[in-house]
Amino acid sequence: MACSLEMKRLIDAVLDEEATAEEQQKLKTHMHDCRHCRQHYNQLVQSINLLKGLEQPNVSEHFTASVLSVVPIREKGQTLKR
Amino acid sequence: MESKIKRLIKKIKKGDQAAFEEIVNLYKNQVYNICYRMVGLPHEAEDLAQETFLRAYTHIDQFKSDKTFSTWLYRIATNLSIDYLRKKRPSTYLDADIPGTEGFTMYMHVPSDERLPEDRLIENEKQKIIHYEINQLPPKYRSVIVLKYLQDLSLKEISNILNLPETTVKTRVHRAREALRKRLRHF
Repeated sequence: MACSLEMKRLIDAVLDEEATAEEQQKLKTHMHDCRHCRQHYNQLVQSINLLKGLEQPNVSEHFTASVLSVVPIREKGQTLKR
Repeated sequence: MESKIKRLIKKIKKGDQAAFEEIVNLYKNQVYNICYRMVGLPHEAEDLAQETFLRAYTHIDQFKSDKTFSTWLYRIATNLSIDYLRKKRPSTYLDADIPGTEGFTMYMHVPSDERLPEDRLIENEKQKIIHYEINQLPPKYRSVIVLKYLQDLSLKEISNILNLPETTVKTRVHRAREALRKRLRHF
């Protein structure tokens, strides 16, 4: 965990991309001296990067055909109830 | 893009199947990925994705054209996935916890018969571990992580999809991020 609630709030603000330039500088200065917060912040950044690096697998090729085979045929202007 | 979608929806409301096919092709991978990361299992995810489109089609008259279609569609997908997780009986999945091996999954011990270059293998294992760790999160955290970091959606969009205030979504993102940090820190 971050060493104080204030630093936790700053870290969240930076990761949410909502921190002001002043807040960013404040966190940066603090992390320069605080190994604890630096490690915490780096681990959070790493987790986010791992998430963003996840592959997005494609659905199987027959998916569209299989959806179309189960949708009820709809007459013009008719409301569907299932 | 949005005006194209609006035109397609109008056609679907009039009973145009070809327009529906186009919508399925446009969104199928995103919908599938939301379901896949939510429920963790490829076949179940595909069934849920299919059910999502079926519901969208049969309830298309309820979709208000001043809203964003993807938000509406992703809401159906997320709700179906959460329902699935709620109903699912606990059973032994291939990726179930093995006592004493927290963070490891069974399929890591199943030898692969494909011959892969070593770095590809390592990348595969990495992807599996991250996927596994996402699936260890409670569904309410899983959904925000999937929508924010995998689908790259804004807090506002996520709040519309989940029907929650933006402040709640934000708090959940923070907690989910922290929970995942603990799980992934030894990477």
